[in-house]
Amino acid sequence: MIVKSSWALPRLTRLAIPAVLALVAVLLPFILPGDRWVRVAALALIYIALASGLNILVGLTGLLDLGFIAFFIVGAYTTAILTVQLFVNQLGFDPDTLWWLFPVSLVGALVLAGIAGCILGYPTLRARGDYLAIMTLAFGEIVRLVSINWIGLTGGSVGIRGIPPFAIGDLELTSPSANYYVVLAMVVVILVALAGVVASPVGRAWVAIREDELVASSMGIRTRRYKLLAYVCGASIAGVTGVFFAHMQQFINPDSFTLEDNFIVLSLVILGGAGTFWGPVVGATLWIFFQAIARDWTIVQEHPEFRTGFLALIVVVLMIVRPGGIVSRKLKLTRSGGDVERPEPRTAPAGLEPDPIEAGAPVLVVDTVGRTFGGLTALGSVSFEVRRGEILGLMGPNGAGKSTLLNVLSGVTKPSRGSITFRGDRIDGLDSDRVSVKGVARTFQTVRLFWQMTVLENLLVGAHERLRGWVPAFALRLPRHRHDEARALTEAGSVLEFAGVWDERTRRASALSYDSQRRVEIARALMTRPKLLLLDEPAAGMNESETKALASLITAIRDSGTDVVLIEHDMDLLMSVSDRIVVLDHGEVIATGTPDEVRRNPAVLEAYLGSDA
Amino acid sequence: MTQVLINGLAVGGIYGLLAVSFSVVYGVLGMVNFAFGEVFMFGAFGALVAAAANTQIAGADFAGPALPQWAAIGIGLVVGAIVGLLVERIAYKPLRNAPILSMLITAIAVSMLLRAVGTFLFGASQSPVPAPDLGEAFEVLGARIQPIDIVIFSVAIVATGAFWALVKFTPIGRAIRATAQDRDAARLMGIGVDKVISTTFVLGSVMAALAGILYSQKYGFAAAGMGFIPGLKALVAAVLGGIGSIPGAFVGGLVIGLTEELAAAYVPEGAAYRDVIAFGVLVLILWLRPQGILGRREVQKV
Repeated sequence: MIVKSSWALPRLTRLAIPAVLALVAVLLPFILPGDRWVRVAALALIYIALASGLNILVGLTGLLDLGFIAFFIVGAYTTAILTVQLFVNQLGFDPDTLWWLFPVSLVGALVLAGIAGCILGYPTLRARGDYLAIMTLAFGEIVRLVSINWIGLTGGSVGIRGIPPFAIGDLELTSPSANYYVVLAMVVVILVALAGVVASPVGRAWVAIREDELVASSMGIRTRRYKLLAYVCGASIAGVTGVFFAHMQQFINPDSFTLEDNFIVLSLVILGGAGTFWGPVVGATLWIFFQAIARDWTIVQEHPEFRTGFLALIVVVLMIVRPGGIVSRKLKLTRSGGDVERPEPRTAPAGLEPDPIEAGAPVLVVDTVGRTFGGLTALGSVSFEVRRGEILGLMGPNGAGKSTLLNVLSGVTKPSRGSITFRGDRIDGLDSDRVSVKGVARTFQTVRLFWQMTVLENLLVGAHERLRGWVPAFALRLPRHRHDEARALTEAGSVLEFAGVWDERTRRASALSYDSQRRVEIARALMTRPKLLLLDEPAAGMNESETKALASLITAIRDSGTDVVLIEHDMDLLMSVSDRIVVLDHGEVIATGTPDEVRRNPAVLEAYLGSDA
Repeated sequence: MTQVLINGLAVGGIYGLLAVSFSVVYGVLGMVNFAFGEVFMFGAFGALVAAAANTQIAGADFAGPALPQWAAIGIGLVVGAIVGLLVERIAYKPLRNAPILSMLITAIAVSMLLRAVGTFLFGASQSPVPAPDLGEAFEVLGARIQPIDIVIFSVAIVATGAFWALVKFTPIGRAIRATAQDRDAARLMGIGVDKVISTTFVLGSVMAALAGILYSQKYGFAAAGMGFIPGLKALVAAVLGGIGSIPGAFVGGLVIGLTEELAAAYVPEGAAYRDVIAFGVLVLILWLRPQGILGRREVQKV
């Protein structure tokens, strides 16, 4: 099949904005009146880098960091201590000959800031968001206080002077314009790399975590790991920026990084637009230039506190009036818009080997599984099996334990006892992301899509396990990944066609009709290439004709080679599509059999209609 | 040793009061109101200006009412309550259903804004606060005890106890607890949830302002930035005690106060790293027990 791509034209328009921005950035020193303004522009670049780094945490992943400057401090002091304290003061090198040390400092700062990011990020794996905010604030203070008080290493409040300027060989780059261009190069590299990472499985995983962490993990994303990764990436960017800042200033002291800088950088992200790509750039540029202009005003000279006060006021008003910030352009989480021609519908889970298990043999064996919450028994001792090639209906009155059972099967809650074996492997006790990788996918009782993403992006999250890779490879935009992504998009197209929602592929999930939302959710689950699909009341809220269409979709899923467990309150649907039915009541299995057998079973009638029936 | 302990209890009492403010508002609104550090500051300045004969406000001379000490403290508490109420009504109320991240960002912005307003009104440098006349320091078991420390600790205990009793035994306290448990259910039961939240903010602000006044009396100054570090330590205390619990927050405050005073006195270079120790404790707690020492794990619902 020829993969027709729609890249050609959008690609031109997509590159237009960055190209114009780059041109302006390159010409800026010639346009600006005088060195003072070139210095302001260089400072703006520093803040652009910091804001973009923080945006990974706050904007993309939804983790608040109030001590972000700590990573910047780590970077700046790393190079200052290495260059001045160690090589100049201890080893007696001439500072003018140390230009070769700069890359070493960069790597050192990258590593140390990354480690700091790990230390700070680790508790996020479990801590609640607000505790975390407090902790980042405290961590930022610790780093700042140490930099002030560890005089032997950091020079205390005097700081470290005599940091050599940027240089290439003997050529020292000390003029404001030269500094500007060096920092510009850094910002361009950071932004290009960041854009690559954002439009990759990594970026999609971050946004998925922000949107709905539980669903993200049910798509096979190791959410803890990706949150930690967000910290490490943000911290590394801040650390590198710190190195450039130190060499640009040629000195650092604790006054270079006030406590308020944490807040300022955060505000710039919010001002420009958290979770957008250009938001931090716009926010930082506007604010730093505004601040430089305002410096000449007498009222600001008399009351320097007005600057942060004004910024704070903007943020407070913005959060009420326009929480999205200035830039409203949504992030593009993939570089391609998908195929333009209507694809063939998916016939079988693509890329699957012929199934070694023959039809009718058990694939999922649930053995005496129980789950209690405190003193409440949600599941007593449940045993049943799902066989290859069937749709297993799961019914029971409200409170029978159906949802708990589904959560236990998908790894959201752990069973208190019993075992679950899927195709020979125990899956009880696995986290939901591992269960997903084993080939068990699920949908949710109330539709849970990633509402800010397009339909295709939602589906690509489902393909996470096949697309994931190493962050630097995405930053470098290696062609291999681009290929994988194009293939996954083609697959997404055929899955959407299969589910009957191909026409919706470029729309935002939040803009879909209810019926389409349900179908997209099923399609997203199918993108994980499941061998078993758990559907939690998929027909809830649908009208009669939609339910009928859904029934044929569910049957088609079974026929394409994915076994189905269906929880449903709509008896007509359940009876018509299920091959066998398991009936739960009060956390126990009370009947198992074909729809006809179950319909006639007195225990079932009693559970549903009461003993008088 | 006794001296250090008494001092630690006084400092801890101040942290404890502020921690109670954070804790009770967290309980009701599920957010950390960073601005209590600034309510702390406005309380201190309110009392200072009310007690002074002439001061400067926003660079202009201002003839203060020169009220007696007890009345000035009352004014300080009222100022704190008003600031807290305004913050809640203007900044937080429109965000009632916004994501927690938005609320936290607003909270930190409000805190910065109030600090800037404080700097504008009261200047960037420290303003001296005359020490209250409580008599000479006296000796107990060979240690010199400052009467102010005893007063601070007693006031903190009584205020926290009264606050706890208010929440535990009065109808408004019951409304506060109901709102904290389930806002929607409380609303359906006919509780004016907005009113309850505002009341909680006012009560919390009074506690924070009281802490600020005691702090300025103990250390002899007030300054626009005075609330930040104590605020952060009070947050540590609240987390330590399991945020949402009043006695827990107060005890957490005492633990932090004692720890840092002991560290300052007995650890080499401890004075310089006093704050690092308090924050280190927090980082350590959240590493080991992310839900706080007394907190319970939250169960996610699908």
